[in-house]
Amino acid sequence: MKKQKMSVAQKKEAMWSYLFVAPTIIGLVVLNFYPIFSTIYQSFFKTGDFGLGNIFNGVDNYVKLMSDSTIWQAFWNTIKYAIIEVPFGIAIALVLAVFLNKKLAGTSAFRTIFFLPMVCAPAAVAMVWKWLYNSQFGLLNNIFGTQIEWITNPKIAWISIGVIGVWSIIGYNMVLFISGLQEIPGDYYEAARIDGASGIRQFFDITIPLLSPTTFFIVQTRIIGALTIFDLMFMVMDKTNVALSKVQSVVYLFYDYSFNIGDKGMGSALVVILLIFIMIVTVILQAAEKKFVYHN
Amino acid sequence: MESYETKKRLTTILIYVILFIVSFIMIVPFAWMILTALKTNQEAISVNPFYIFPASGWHWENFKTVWKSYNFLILYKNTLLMILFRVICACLTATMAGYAFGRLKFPGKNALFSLVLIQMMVPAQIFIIPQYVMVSKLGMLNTQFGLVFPGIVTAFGTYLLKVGYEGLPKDLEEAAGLDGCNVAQRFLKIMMPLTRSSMVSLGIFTAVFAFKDLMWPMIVCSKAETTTLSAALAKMQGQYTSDYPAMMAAATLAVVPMVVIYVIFQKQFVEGIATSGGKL
Amino acid sequence: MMERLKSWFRQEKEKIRNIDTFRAKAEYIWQYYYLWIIGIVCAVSITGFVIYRYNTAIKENWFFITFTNTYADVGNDSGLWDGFVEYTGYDTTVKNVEFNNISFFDCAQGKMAGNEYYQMFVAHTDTGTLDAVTMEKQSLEALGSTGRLMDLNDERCASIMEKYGDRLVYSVPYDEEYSRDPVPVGIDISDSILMSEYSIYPESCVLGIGSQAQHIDVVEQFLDYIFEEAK
Repeated sequence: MKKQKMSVAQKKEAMWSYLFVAPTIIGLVVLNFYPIFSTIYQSFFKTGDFGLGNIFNGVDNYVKLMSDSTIWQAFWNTIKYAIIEVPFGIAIALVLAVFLNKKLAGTSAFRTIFFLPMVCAPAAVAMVWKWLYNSQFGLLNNIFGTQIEWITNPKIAWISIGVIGVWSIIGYNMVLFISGLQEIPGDYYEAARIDGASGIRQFFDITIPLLSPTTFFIVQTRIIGALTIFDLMFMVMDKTNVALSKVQSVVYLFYDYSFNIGDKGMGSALVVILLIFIMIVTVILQAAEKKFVYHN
Repeated sequence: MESYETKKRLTTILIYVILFIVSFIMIVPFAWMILTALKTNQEAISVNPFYIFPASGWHWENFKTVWKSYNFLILYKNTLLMILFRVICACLTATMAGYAFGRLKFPGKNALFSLVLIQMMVPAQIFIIPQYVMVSKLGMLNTQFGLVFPGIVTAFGTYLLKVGYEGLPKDLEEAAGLDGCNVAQRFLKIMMPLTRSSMVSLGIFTAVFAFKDLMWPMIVCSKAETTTLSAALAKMQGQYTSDYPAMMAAATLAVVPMVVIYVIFQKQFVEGIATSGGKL
Repeated sequence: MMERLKSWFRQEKEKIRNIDTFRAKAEYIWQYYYLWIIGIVCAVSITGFVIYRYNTAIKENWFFITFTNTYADVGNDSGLWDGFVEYTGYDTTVKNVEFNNISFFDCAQGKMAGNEYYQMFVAHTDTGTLDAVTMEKQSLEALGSTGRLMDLNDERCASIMEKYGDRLVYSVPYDEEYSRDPVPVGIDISDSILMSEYSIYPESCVLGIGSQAQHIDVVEQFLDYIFEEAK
């Protein structure tokens, strides 16, 4: 921050700004940052079990985690999942949103339908996908006449999980894209139409650049979302599934440590490592924003 | 001209074909849920995947059983109130902070905004236990306040609205600045109405996530008369673990109001097109 | 800042005085300041409610027990609850006696991921809310390995061990540094009224004490009660 004397107007603006951000920042600090700090604090302790208190053990948890190959596998699994979910989820949602933003009959019905996966009971979703993927009776194998073990073959399982991820996120991205599309002034399209630009031309010349702030927002939040994915893994994969170790995500492992094994210290250390990793990714993304995002 | 018309018609048909295929894929679990709710348990757990429709008649009584076993009216009331308060709180705090982050200049802006980003980077599971301790220390267990508590502020919403405000043209505000409006007036009269579609989508997301949130209502409101739909249903799912039709009937009853809310909100969406698309 | 506020206040006062009817005055104030009025009223009422609850709500427990995986009527205000409160003579208008029977998880099956009930159980245990929990034997043995139940060899449990030391249930900790041998974590209560009268589980019933439990003496009272009634 450059040390410059602020003018009265600037001072006033800063004062209003602090007033505006105060509720959010105070809320975040109390509700979220206190837990985050206590997690960081806990990561330096060995969790006392059976009624024993916590014992300080410095960076032992981190050393143990770093030398554990399961963790690296989990990180790799998470990244692979993100590679499927983020681009496909966004591309499909963008195309659908553009279609639904046209003045076609029945768009509001379609919009509601695409929104359904978001409100559907997770149990129903899991049941349907398990049925689709079932290697003997599953719809997919019946249609294609194959015998593929969609979720028990370690080589394929991560793709199958990624597909469910894309499916469940499309509605979410679509809602955001539609609201972004609506903020594009209609005049631009009007002018392009008079110039005789085709629909595809309009899409690349107007929609993509003007939508880039929204797109960047979705990319950023979805990358964070995909790197902290958790529920998909347990919904479809059973604990006995042989492919689990090739699919389980970092947060799944955190959950396993903190809740199932009862070692909160290790779980907390894992969260801290994940947090640092995502922060690095975010810094890179923020640097990319200046290059790719169009600001009017 | 002739070929242009046919081309246009072809594109429209193609769009509809794609939309229909995708909607089919999207609607399957939902349809499955409703169909399962109408089967007997025997049919529901049958391994034959092509047993899609209820074979031995449509069993509407599954809904009756579930409806009777709970006081749904109180559950709907609690859930709607929680959603309403959370949406109001989220929209209010996020639109203010989003405006400041998106349009105003002040020292420490980037540092404060990074707090917002960091909140989204940690798994939500770590928040539950400390927040529960806070609520219980305040004596707010089994109250509406306790239910709304973690949703008072939203990092996601703040970011969403920041993007919304950044997207608005620059000159708009400068013109208002000359007219002698102060920051608050500019915000309330000019900027806030223009980000309506972002606010509506934030409202939709807040509502959906509040509605789907199971863990928090369960832990904070253990009493039947204060809890929400999803938490009560979770109990039901424990109760009917082997009774799939009852489970699915319960899930259907829970989802219906959500879909209705979305259909209502969606109208706002469409109106949003008319206002922002036409005038700017 | 203060100066400006004062001068603004004086101006407004002057303006309002110049409006003749009361109705018009109120209308003027509402028109100009309705957002402020609504905001302040909301803030004041919420703060008031929080302060009121903070001072009046019952925040402490005499005793908190979770009966997992059961549909038996053993929750608050059930016969069991009434009997226990009467037996101990605790005043439930001062502190709560919580019998929680909304909890469904089975550690023996190992499907704990994403089970909200289990998360809730962990939250109750780690915050020291939970004093005791009952389960079937197999499930409790599996849960015991996580270290979320108290080691009954702990000196705080000495008097319980003295009375019920012949009914122990053991499990082997995941944490090898703690112990490689089985640790006593549960007390078999299959012959208590929980089974004979309320039949909460089909086969066996074991009670464990939460690792952060605050009211171990009350756990002992509870044990005394369920066995005394059984006689």
